[in-house]
Amino acid sequence: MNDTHHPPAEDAVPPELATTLARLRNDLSEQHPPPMLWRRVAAAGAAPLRAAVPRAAAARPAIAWPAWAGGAVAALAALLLVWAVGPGWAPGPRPPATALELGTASESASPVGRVPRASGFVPVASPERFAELWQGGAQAAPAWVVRTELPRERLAALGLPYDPARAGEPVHAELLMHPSGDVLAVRLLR
Amino acid sequence: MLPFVPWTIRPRPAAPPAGLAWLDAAYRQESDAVYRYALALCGDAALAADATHEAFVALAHAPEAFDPSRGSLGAYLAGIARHALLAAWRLRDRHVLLDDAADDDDDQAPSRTVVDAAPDREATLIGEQRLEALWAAVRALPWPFREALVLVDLQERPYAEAAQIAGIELNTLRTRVHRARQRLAQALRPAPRSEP
Repeated sequence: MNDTHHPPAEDAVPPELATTLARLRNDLSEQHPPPMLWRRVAAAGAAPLRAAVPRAAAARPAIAWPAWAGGAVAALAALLLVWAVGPGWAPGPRPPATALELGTASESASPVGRVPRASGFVPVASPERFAELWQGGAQAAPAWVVRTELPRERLAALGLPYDPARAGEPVHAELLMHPSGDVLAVRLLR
Repeated sequence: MLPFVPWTIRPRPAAPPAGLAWLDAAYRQESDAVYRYALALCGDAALAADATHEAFVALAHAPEAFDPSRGSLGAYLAGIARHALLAAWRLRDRHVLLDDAADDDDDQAPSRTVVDAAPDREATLIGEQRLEALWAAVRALPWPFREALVLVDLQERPYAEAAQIAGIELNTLRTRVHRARQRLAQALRPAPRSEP
């Protein structure tokens, strides 16, 4: 029997069901996908964009903008060094964080070949969170790159391929962290 | 502390990563409906989220696969989520799914769907009908009827769109909706008291 030959004569909702369906409809309308879901979708959606980058460019030791930022810090550190110990200049007081900055700068200004090859940064923070940070004056706040190890199975949550057979092995990664503790983005080191 | 490189966060509006603005817009517009469709069908938030994820990732990876002339974006995404749900269920082997001929069965025929939370009339449906019991009754419906009820009566989608998502003819959908309502009404009807 094909029920397409017997269309129901009545499409109306039975009266005894109307209230029940309205109740269910109301309950369903209050359900929303978990906030983390957009992060997963965005991470997976960004993967093809990264894959579209030519291999030669993708194989660069570091992505452009951290390298650019590192270069700027290195230049600033070099100026401070010249100012502090250069000929004809009186040694001035060292800024409180100079040593740290110099150390950082020397590391960031060191040959980029020291840095392992890495993937592009995968956004982790939601656009809403970025907006919150931005509105909170985050544009003036620093962010840090923190090197760490992640369980390999976390790659799946980022929308990246991973081999379940190696789920127990950690993967080296760098986290882009906001001072608030938010992880803004992550990139994988090869 | 590991070495770090300070820099200033770039001005970044409340926008998704570069190149994903369209995906963000689609997500904002359709994610609620896709998620609710999956959730109403399976009753498992994690599974519903996974199905929604699958739908949007498929869209992100192959946006050209969506053909607006064949239906709305919401219907397209819900269709992908539907496949993801069915695949997940097959993997978990939690449900025995009815084939498309299931709605040919007599309304009194026992359901061939194995549902985790079969409603216990005595405990839940007599007296105050709690929301959980109502949902349990919906999920006790065989898959084709449940899907039709969710699409038409709970999500209030147009019949044509619901038929497209379910991959069936319009008249088949109408029949399924009709029978789903009958079955649900029957399930929610208090059991007759037996004489002492």
